Amino acid sequence: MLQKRAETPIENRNYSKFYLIFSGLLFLSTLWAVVDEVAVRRPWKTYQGEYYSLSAEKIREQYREAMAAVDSSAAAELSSQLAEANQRLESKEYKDAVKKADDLQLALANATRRWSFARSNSDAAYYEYKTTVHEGHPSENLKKKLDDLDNEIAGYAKEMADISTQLQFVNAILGGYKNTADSLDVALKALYADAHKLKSKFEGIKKSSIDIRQVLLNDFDKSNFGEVKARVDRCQTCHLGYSDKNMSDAPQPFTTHSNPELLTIHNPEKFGCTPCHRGQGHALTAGNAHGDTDHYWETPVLRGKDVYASCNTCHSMRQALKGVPYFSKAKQTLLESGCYGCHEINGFTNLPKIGPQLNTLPAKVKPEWVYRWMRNPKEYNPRTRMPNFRLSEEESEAITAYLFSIGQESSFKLDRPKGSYAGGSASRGREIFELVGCKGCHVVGDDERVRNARASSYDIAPELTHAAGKLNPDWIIDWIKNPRHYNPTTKMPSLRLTDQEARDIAAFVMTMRDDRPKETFTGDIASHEKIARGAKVIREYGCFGCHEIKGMENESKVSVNLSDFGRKKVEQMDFGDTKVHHTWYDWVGNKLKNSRVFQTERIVQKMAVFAFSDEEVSQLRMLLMSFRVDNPQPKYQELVTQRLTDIDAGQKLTIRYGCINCHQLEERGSYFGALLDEPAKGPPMITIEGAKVQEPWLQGFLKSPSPIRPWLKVRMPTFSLTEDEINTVTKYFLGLSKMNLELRDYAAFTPDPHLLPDGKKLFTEFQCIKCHQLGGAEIDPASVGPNLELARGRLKPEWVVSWLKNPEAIQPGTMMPGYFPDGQSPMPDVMHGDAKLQMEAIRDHLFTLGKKK
Amino acid sequence: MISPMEKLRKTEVYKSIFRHKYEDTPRNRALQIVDNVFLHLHPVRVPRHATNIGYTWGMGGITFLLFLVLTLTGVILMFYYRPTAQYAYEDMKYLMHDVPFGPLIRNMHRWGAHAMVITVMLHMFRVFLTGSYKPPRQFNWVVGVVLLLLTFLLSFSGYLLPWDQLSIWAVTVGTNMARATPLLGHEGPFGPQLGMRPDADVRFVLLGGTQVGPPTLLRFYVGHCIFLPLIATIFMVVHFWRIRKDGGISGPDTGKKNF
Amino acid sequence: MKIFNSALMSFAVLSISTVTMYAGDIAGKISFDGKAPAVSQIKMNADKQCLSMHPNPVNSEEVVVNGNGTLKNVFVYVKDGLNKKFDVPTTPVVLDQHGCQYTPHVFGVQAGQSIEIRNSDPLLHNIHALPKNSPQFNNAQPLKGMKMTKKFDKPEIMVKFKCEVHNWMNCYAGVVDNPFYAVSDDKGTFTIKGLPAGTYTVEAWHEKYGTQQLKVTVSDKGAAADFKYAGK
Repeated sequence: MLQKRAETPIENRNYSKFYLIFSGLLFLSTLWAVVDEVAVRRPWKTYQGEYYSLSAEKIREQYREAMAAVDSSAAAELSSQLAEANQRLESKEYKDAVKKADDLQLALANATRRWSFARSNSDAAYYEYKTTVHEGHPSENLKKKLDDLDNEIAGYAKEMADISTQLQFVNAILGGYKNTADSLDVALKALYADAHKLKSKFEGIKKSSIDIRQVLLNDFDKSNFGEVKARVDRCQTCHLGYSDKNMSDAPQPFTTHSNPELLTIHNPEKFGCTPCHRGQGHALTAGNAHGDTDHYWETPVLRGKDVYASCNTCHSMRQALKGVPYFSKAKQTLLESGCYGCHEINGFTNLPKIGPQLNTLPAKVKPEWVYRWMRNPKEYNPRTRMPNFRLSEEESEAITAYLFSIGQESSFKLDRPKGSYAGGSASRGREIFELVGCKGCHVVGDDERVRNARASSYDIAPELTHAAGKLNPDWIIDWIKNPRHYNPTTKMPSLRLTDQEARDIAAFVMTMRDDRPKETFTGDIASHEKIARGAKVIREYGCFGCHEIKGMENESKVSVNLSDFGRKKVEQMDFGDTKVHHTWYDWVGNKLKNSRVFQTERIVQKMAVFAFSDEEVSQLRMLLMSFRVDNPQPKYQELVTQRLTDIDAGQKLTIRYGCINCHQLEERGSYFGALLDEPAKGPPMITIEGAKVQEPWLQGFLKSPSPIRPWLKVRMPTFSLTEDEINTVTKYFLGLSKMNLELRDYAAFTPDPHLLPDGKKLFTEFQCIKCHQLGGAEIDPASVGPNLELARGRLKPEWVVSWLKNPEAIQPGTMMPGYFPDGQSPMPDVMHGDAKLQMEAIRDHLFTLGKKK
Repeated sequence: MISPMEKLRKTEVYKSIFRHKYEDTPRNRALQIVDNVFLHLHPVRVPRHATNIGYTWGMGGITFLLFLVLTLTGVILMFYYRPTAQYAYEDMKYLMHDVPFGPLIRNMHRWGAHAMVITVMLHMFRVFLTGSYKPPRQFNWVVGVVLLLLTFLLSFSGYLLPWDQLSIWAVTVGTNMARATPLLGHEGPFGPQLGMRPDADVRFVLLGGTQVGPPTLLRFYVGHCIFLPLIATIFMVVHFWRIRKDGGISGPDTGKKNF
Repeated sequence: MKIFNSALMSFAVLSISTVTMYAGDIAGKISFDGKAPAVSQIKMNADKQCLSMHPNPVNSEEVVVNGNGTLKNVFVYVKDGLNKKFDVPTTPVVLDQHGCQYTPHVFGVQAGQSIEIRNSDPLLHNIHALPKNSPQFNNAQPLKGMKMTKKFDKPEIMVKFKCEVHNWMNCYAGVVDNPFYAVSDDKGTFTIKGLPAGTYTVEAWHEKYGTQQLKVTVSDKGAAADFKYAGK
């Protein structure tokens, strides 16, 4: 072929074949480009078509059901009546009446015309006449003409009135026929109203246009140059069924959005989809929109429970979100595990250290124990929050040496002479331990009910099963009588134990021996080199992040700032020698499960190893995903009000002090309830305290609790809160009830004397004292309800009324019965059965009880 | 009988548009080319060896064709692209996801650019290997080198326009070289002595600032769409003109000297 | 002769059993083996009015072993095998508080059927129902003659009722979605009437001794289902 080509003179060489082939290729590729563009590359058009047909099908189903549900007998009845009525419209009488009406209309029109012409003529004549009057020569002729015309007008008017009357009459007849037919028609249509609505709906769907749907959020984002820019979400182009209730069992992308109540607060029309679900909003194919094929998109779609990470971008101020326990637990785990001790995190600043102070150890423990604890805390207490630093023998010895050296320098001394613990009964101590409330925080032996109810991988107070191997009884007495003596910032409260009770409990605890095999310790902790080395090791590992240590009060946090960790690039993460999949997701999951997993010989890691469960790892990873500094513009974020700040502070405080272990607070807590067969017989739910109790009473109670509920054996402990902390709690409760802290003089509340007699009557009829104690300084264990004399000084007057109205709604499971079912009074003859007035009367009577006259 | 076509050809309108006759005479054939503003780039007659595409592979022509494709697709892209930091990336995304035939146009532009660089180099190699830089074509070679440089600059300035990480950092690295320019860069030989400072040197002029930022984008956009194409056009005009004047498209050595 | 006699006997027994059973019923007996637990008395000292209503001692109804060695207050119902929806009866089930005790101690009701709760005592009672599948309620009836109508929307075995004023008072409701249930009486027998033919799982529930299940095939002649409980 080439030879043939070489023989042909250049100018005769024919390239038409090449041109044909290449132009053919060009044509085909153009054709392909057009087809690809219009159809193939736009799968959303197919999805929309599918959705419309699916939706139409479902609505057609509903239409069929609605048609079937129509009362066929009623329909038949109405149809036949309608047919009859229509028949009568064909009758001679009707037709005659119609003709008559038409004739009368015509006659009326003629008469009206004659009348109005006459009037016009009269006006003209009037003018002419009046002109003559004004000119001084009133014309008699013209006056006569005017009068004649006026008479004519009157005559025509009468004619008109007559015709009108006749017409009215005929119209009434006509109306009789027509109205029946019309009303029957309307009634028949009404029977089919629902069905017809559905029919027009699915017919309308067939005509729906295939368009891109988008939500434009102006000023949502900031570019990397700090310029505010908009965000566009086109997810709804394929996900058309998100608000369509018929689509709850349809396949994706048409499925209805779960949790529709959430959508009423975060309307996608206003918020778009990507602020919660992330993804590439302006893309129109699944791969690009979800970030699966467009690997450069930095925020791929969040799947499963990770979507809750987005909650934190706008609600970073909240420690708990209603209806999202996954999120609340994640934050609770972070607060309780103390991550902020080593890592700076936005929103978790100025929090107290979660571990005990280490400046006075000699009074409490022996060096051997501290050494073993350093080597592996989980040997002694498998559920401790303290993570394992995998310290070598040498490092552990050094730290022990340092801690004991500063311990010996301290001037701390136990409050009682040595040996004061003697005389306790271990069996009695066990009884007190079981009853008084220790089990709300501490686990002993095999009883894991509270621990399981809490569902964390750690305990928030030490397990005491082997406590005798750690503690000495002198220290135990000192501790349980007044924990803040040994540790001024501890969250362990005092249970107001008597001296004998304390001795009994100490005896009980000392029966919890530790006979497990242990590592021996023969180190010399007095050597200066070891002590200096200990200080160095402590500084290296950052123990002061969780513990107060003398000489290290002002050290900075030992590890990295996590406030922007959600945006950390996977290229900057070190995977060590592992074969872990190279994604942010997998790195973080593995790191949380075992912090040292990516260690190599050259890169030694210092983060301690926690023992999080898989669920906790997922939750914390979700939280870390949410730590970003590229949050939406403030106008899209939740407004940080004083109320939210108060609630945030309160939540952090109540988690720290473990209020949630015994009490239900907001949506979590009351793990102690697992010990009772009826949780309603345990510590009360305190979410409503803000609306319920008087603030001065609350503050007094927190400072010095006293028993209120007779059946409750568990004691509310004394937490030794500071004034600030008590204020935080008060404002927290008030914030939860959407109230403000106001100065109110509760003593000034005067019961209405007009209501008192009825109040007393109702009080007697309702037999409140069958359950409630009334009077008496001591608790009467036989009564089921609190002493009513406390009400005046304890409860808010408004709250008593709401309580009486519906106790079950305020405190589900309460033993207090409702006397006013559906807001109706059970005694209609008292106060005219006005339930609200009755409740106020009872309240007013209640507030007179116990008053010294 | 005069046919309708004949009648048409005698009308003043026709004669105003088509200035020459229609009969197939050598004169008319020549006038078709010479009288047409687009076609008169070509010589009226070409030597025989000019039809041997195997000699040149038409690389120069292909480069020019690609330039025209790039101009056309570039103009279409300009309807959808805004050269501000706020919008540049988003607009590129819209082109990719929304605009009908957006990806096609953008990809044609991008691939065309890459192809143009390749064909320009192939053209350069061909010219070198066929000795078409030898007298009297030395000046044209120089013009060609300038065109090569302009092609590279067009690529470089266009690379910034998507405003993604690759763009910004590529331009940062590229313009960082500018500060080492002798005499004109603040880190180049004799630069500081001539008063060059980080905010007053050739790099500053290029970037419109001391770092790649919104002014850089605008500057590069104007350069890429207006300034560089204009310069390139001028040089191409000279380049093509010189081809004609220096003896037409290169062919095998005939032994004759052309100058 | 012997064969003829035994044949006659078996014929007699069969005919008696077919005569005594209705078509499509499940009838049975709850027998109790072993030692009956010691009968415990209810102390009503907490409320003098209640105490005055009972001059004779009142026994706890937790375990009632009948004289014939059978167990009372066992709730028997059809757990599986029915694939129909049943209409909710319009007549309510009556639960009465009388003599500071609930009557009946164990009863059945259909989901959605009304329960009329009456107070026949001239003193305060409260009715605290503790269902897990339906909303709880706790209402007071301070006066004699007061009536209250409640219902449970979802089936549950069993819903406990208690009174806070009188902590010995409790009763149990078996909420089912069909009308086929019964409570064993003071002869220890029960009858579930009117079942269509088929195979069903029948469950018996007792307050203290728990649940037992039986597979029962009901024909036109009905079926028998006997449960055995053993005391410890």
